[in-house]
Amino acid sequence: MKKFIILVIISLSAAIAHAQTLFESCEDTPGISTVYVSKAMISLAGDLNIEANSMDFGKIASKIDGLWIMTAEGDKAATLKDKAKNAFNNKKYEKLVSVREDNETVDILMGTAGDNKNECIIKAFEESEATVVIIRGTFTLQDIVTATKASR
Amino acid sequence: MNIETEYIKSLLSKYYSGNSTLDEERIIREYFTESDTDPELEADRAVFAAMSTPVEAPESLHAAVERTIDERAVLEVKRRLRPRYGRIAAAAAVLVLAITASVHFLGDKPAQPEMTPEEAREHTVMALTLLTKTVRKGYMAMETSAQTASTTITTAENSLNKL
Repeated sequence: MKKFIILVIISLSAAIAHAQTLFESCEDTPGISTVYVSKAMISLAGDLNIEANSMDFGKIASKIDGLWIMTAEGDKAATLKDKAKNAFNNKKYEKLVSVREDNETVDILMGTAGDNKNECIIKAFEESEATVVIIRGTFTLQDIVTATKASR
Repeated sequence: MNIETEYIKSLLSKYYSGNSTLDEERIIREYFTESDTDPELEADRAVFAAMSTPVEAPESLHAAVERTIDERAVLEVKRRLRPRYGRIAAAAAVLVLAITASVHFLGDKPAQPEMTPEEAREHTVMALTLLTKTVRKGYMAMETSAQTASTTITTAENSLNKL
């Protein structure tokens, strides 16, 4: 019985720790805007083919389970940058691309989120503006490459 | 001292030392109920006469015995229930944790009552555009690097050929 209780407590603690995401942390921080788009809302979004830019995100969007977007400006940009640095500064995420242009740095990280799901992190930082996007779903790196080629 | 007295004395000796049998104790009691006991055993007769007289236990003793029995019964019930209380407490703790976790996960989930499909589309496109544009920039940088490397190698080869 004791072992069972300890096991349950450890499992719950691990689950709670895992669920304590950057997004939840940002939700409680004034000055940081957060947007969550669920799989259901993405499916309601309809056609994701943007003819003007020859973009078709339909295939990859169908594999997305959720989108988490956090943005901050001014003083709060530094807060979001710090939170993102702490959240993704581990071996779980691999840096795919890092582009530095003018005053903007964009990093793309990729990692696994369990249950055969992947997590793609986009960090776009300027001096006084920060945007972090988390895309979670069953998409693969190949799906990202395909979407990139399609949007050329 | 006759033989019977000697015999009773031997039985009394065993009785006082705690080694007598029930039959031997019965014989002693029967002996002292007779009227013509040996005067030498008068003190022993008095002892057995006193023991054979029924004594009424005082009421306080009854109460004390009953109280002790009741207390022991309560302690026994508590002892039996204690492990169950432990299990019930453990189950309650797990239940509280589960409810807390449910509230944490379900209650704090980002609510999206005001988001329209158009807004969802806008956010999704923005996120994927940022993703693909950045990846494309990475590709272009890679291609540029490859072209630069190729040009450098060709130039170096031409220089070597001229030599």
